[in-house]
Parts: sequence; structure tokens; C-alpha cells
Amino acid sequence: MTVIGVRRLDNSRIGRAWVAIREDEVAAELSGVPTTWLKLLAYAMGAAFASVAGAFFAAKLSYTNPNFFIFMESCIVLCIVVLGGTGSIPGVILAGILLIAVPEVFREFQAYRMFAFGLAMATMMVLRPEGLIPASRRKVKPSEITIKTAEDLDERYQAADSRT
Amino acid sequence: MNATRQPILELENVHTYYGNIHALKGISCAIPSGDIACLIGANGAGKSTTLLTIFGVQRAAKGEIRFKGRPIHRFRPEQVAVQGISQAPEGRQIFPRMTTLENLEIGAYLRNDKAEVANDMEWVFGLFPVLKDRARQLGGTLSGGEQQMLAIGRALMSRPELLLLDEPSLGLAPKLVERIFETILEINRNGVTIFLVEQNAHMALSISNKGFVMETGRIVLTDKAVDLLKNEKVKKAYLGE
Repeated sequence: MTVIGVRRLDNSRIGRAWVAIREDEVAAELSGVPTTWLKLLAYAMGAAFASVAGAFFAAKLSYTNPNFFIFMESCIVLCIVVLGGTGSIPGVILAGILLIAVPEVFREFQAYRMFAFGLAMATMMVLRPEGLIPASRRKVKPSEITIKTAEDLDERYQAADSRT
Repeated sequence: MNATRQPILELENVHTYYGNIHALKGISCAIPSGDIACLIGANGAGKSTTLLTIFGVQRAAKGEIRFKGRPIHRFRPEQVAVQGISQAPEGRQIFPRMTTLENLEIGAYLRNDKAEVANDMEWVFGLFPVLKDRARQLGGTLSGGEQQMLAIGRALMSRPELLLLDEPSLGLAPKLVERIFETILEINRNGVTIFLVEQNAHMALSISNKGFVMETGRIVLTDKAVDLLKNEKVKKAYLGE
């Protein structure tokens, strides 16, 4: 449900505007995007999704307390996003499964967990800075880029002129 | 040129600060509706700041800005945009990881009339045919000239009455600059008032009706563009003659 919601959001006007703000805030402002309001909205929406998850979590365990959510948890959540790829839904799901399941499997080596995380993060930065599954928006094949110089463009223009 | 025509935009004694730096020291100017006006001056004179102040990105500390007689200097940028002002920022600030199409759609962010938006997009593609070929390509992969066209096109998507252009010739080959300026004239013929900020003084003055010369935060000269082109001081300082 969250996935469908988030995916629809990504392609909505608001989602577009968020991407625009991330790309270039001043340019977004100049296009009439209400940046302050949208940033607040992003914050509120994030909190809303988190609270839905929290409601399920607490109902399932029928007990909760602040010690469940220590600094380490925040780190893991951030790691999940970085590992999966910022702005990529399948990437984040995959990373979420990995980062929650793998430490469970290697429970005996708990002492080395932070070490392993650090190593994984560093490796990611070097090998795949865009995440395991990069957001589709960023995929562009260099072969699609043909025109680079002003001269090329001018030729193109002349071609367009002669057509008309 | 009609002297009695109502100005679309008026600035009166506008002051802007960046922290302690007094960037605009009392700017006053009026842009007649339907004209092309240009603001020329050296680097750091405050030309871009003037445009950002008009749009409310930088707050005017003092003074008044009026659009069609209505004060707008307390508005946030999106409120200014709703009034019918639009700006293509300096240095082709497009959204590099969004496609050409998405960039243009953001330009129409404030509009709900889909059919009209589609119409205007066709108009923009008519002005810049190359953008149509690049519609599904990411903005960051376009060439410099294409990015400039996209920035202007995006600004036009809100169907503005007043278009603010910040250095449209920056970093472009002379031939391309000519193209861009021809298109600016074409946009103006469609009834859009244009306020142009340029370092390329000769080019800017030659397409404008009215010109302002700016020096270190002040407007030092205001005249018809044709007269500024003949002005000895301007020739010496900005036209390299």
C-alpha cells in the first residue's frame, strides 16, 4: 500500500515539485513552486508514513518503549536508504530486507555488526554511489547524448529551418 | 512608443542587503507594458539581485515594487509568480535530472488548465524546435544553448505577462546568442513584456526599447535604448568602442 502510494506521489505534481526543489531550490522558486510549504509537507508526510508503521509495530508487539528506537536504529534506516538508492523504491525495499535479515542471520557475530555496516557503506560509496537499484529518473545512457557543442546545435537549427 | 502608457512594473527606491552587504542602494525604474527593457552593467553591479528582489527571493529591505500598480514587494516568490511574472534564472538553472518535458511541466506548476498548458507547450516547442527533439532527455544532458532555451521555455510555461531574463547570452556562442535574442523578440511580439539583464550590452540594447545602466547597486542612467547605444559614456564603458 505504501509502495503504491509513494509511487503515485512520485509522479504527481507534488512529487515533481519535490524533485525540483531537490535539484535546484532557487529555480523551483522562480517557477512558482511554493518551496516552504512543500518542504513542510514532505516532513509531515514522512512523519505520517512513519506513524502508520509505528501503529502496526506497536499493535503487533502489544508493547513498545522508547528504548526500541535508539541511535543505532536511525543509523540503520539511513543506511537502508543510502544502500538502496535515494529516490528508488525497489532499491530501498531490497536494502531494507538485506539490512534487517542479514544481521539476524549472523547473530553470533553481533560484536562485529557495526564494523560490517561501516565496511558495507564504504564499499557502496566507492562501487555504487547511486544505490543498489538507482532511481529510474537518473538512468541515462551516454549514447543518447549526441549534441554537445553550439555548432552542432546550429546545424540542427539550419536543418529545422530548411524543413519549414 | 507611447509615453503615457501604464508601466507594468515599477521599482521605487528599492534597497536589498545580503547580510551586511548593501547590494541595491535605492533602485528606481519603470518598465512600460509591452516593451523590452534591459538592465546593463558590469559584474557585481547588482543586476541579478534586482531580478531576485522583484521576485521576492531576496527581500527588499526598503522601497516599493509594484506590478500593474499593485505592491508585490512583500510577496513570497510563488505569490509573485501567480501575478503573472516569470523568471529564467542566470546560468541556466534547469533541473538537470528531470527530463525536458518535466522541466516544462514544473514551469506550469501553478496552472490547472491542462488543455491550455498543452497548447502553451506546443508554442514553446514552436519557439525552440530543438526542445521537442529533446523532450524525453534529462535536462543535464542538454547542451548549453539548449539548456538556456529550456530555462526560457520553462519560464514561459506559466504564461507570464512579464518575463524576467537573467543573462540569457551567458556562455553561449555568438551565433546562438543571436538565435536567443531573435526568439526574445518573437516572444515580445506575442505580447509578453520583457525585462532583460545582460552583460552583452550591445546585443541587449539593440533589441530593447528602454535601457537602464547599473553601477555598484545604483541605476546611473536611464534612457531610450537607441540613445544609450549612442551615449559616449556607455560606449566607452560597456560597448568597448
